[in-house]
Amino acid sequence: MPGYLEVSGVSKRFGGLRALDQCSFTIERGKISCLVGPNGAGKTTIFNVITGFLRPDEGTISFNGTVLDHLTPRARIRCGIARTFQNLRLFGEMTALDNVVVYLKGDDAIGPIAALTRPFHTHAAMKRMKERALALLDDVGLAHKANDTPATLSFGQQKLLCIARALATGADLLLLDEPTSGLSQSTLSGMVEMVHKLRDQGRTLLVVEHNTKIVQRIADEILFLHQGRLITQGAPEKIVTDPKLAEIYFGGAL
Amino acid sequence: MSFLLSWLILSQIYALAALSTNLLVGVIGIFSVSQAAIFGVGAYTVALLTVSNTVPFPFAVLAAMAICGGLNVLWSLPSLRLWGDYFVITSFGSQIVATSVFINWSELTAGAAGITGIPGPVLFGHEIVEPAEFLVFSTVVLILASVSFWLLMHSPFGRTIDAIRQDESAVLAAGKDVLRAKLSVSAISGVYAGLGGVLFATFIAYIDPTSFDIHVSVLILTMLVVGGARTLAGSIVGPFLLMALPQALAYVDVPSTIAGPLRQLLYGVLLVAFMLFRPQGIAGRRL
Repeated sequence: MPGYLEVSGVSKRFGGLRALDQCSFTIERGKISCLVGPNGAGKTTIFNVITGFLRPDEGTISFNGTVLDHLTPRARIRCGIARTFQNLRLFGEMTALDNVVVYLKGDDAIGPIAALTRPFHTHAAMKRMKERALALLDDVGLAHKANDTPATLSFGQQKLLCIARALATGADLLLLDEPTSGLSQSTLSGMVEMVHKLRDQGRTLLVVEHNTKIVQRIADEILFLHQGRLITQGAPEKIVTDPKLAEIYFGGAL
Repeated sequence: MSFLLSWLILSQIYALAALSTNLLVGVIGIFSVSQAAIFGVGAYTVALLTVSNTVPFPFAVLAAMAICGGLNVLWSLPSLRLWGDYFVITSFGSQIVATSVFINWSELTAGAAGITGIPGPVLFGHEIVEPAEFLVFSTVVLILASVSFWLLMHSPFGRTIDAIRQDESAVLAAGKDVLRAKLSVSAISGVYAGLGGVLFATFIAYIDPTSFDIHVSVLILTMLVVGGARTLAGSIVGPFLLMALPQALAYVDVPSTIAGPLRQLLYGVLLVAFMLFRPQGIAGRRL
């Protein structure tokens, strides 16, 4: 059975650096897959390649039976892939609600011409979009912060806002880049619950995560990347006890 | 002509240019310093088409809007590849090229001598020549432009272009067509500037290249900084204040030889002062 997301033989070089080197893996639908590996293993690069932000030098990627190689980032999002960024990239001068509104799927039909020629239609559409955005904020527990700007939110809330934005695209596959990094213990559990909830709602998640304890809590499957290659893939209990991986990850003795 | 009427009308005309700059520079973040050139193209287009009554005024206006919209898209194309300061330099070059064309393509533009005898706007067979009538006309145009600006900014498209300035990659990750949004904004911005040019030419009845040079581009930017970027009010308050300055200077007893340079100096001081102490302007946001 073909995988939900298939990455085959993908390479990406930056000058002399091989960020991805014949990287191949498959992830299954409805699971939480965690990408782990030391700094520079190529985790964020693979996100950029899957979402079309970077073109790979070679290799092919398919999602849900569609080959993505020649699709723009926009077309890939329409296929149902959304991402969050390690550095969040929230719109700092907008409210949380508007941050989500910008990401909502389906408002493309209301371009500048429609805004000028059909103002009442546009106004009604905008109202509906705000309602949808508010519902999404409610899903991640941020409805009470709808009219606040990102700077007034806690770091954990900012990360949840990023997830609400990704959900607004209507994506089935969510690529989350370090959703728990920098979170306090108390907000961490909330994020772990959120990730589980997203999967239980039927979505597939590919998560970059450093904290091995968190990985064990959230992952259905671990993909271990090293020097741009997939070293191994499997259940968390198998991967985290592998001494060879501990050597790569922590530099410990074999 | 009364001082009050000419101040009101000129302020409204520059408010159109400021709206154009606001959309391009303030909202989507394409930092153009050549909006006076587009403003000038609008003025020259309507002047050339109507000066010998060759084309009816409404068609000349449509032509000016179309040409300015299209030209502003071309003008902004480098912004798709160049960022921040680099685009400012490109845009500065565009402005210099435009001024050279206004001066040197004398068969068309009458060169430095300028075009005289431009008729007033002719609507329903009536030529508007009285300033009071012109004020009504320019007020209607500014209201229409302001309403369109407000509608754009309060639409989903408005949210998208506002977001593009803040983080283009994040808008790309939202699945939005950033390229189309930038080109659309450039076109609409060009139309506003073109309309401003149309009113300018038909109000003053005389145009020459100095009305559309780099100083004017900087003046329009200063209006935006003083008024405040990204808001409708900012685009209107700024021009009204800055156009009052030369008139106010007329009341001060300064020789006419230094009145011009003094005005430029004051514009400069205002720009620096606002940037330092009130970057959000009077009624807007930080540029």
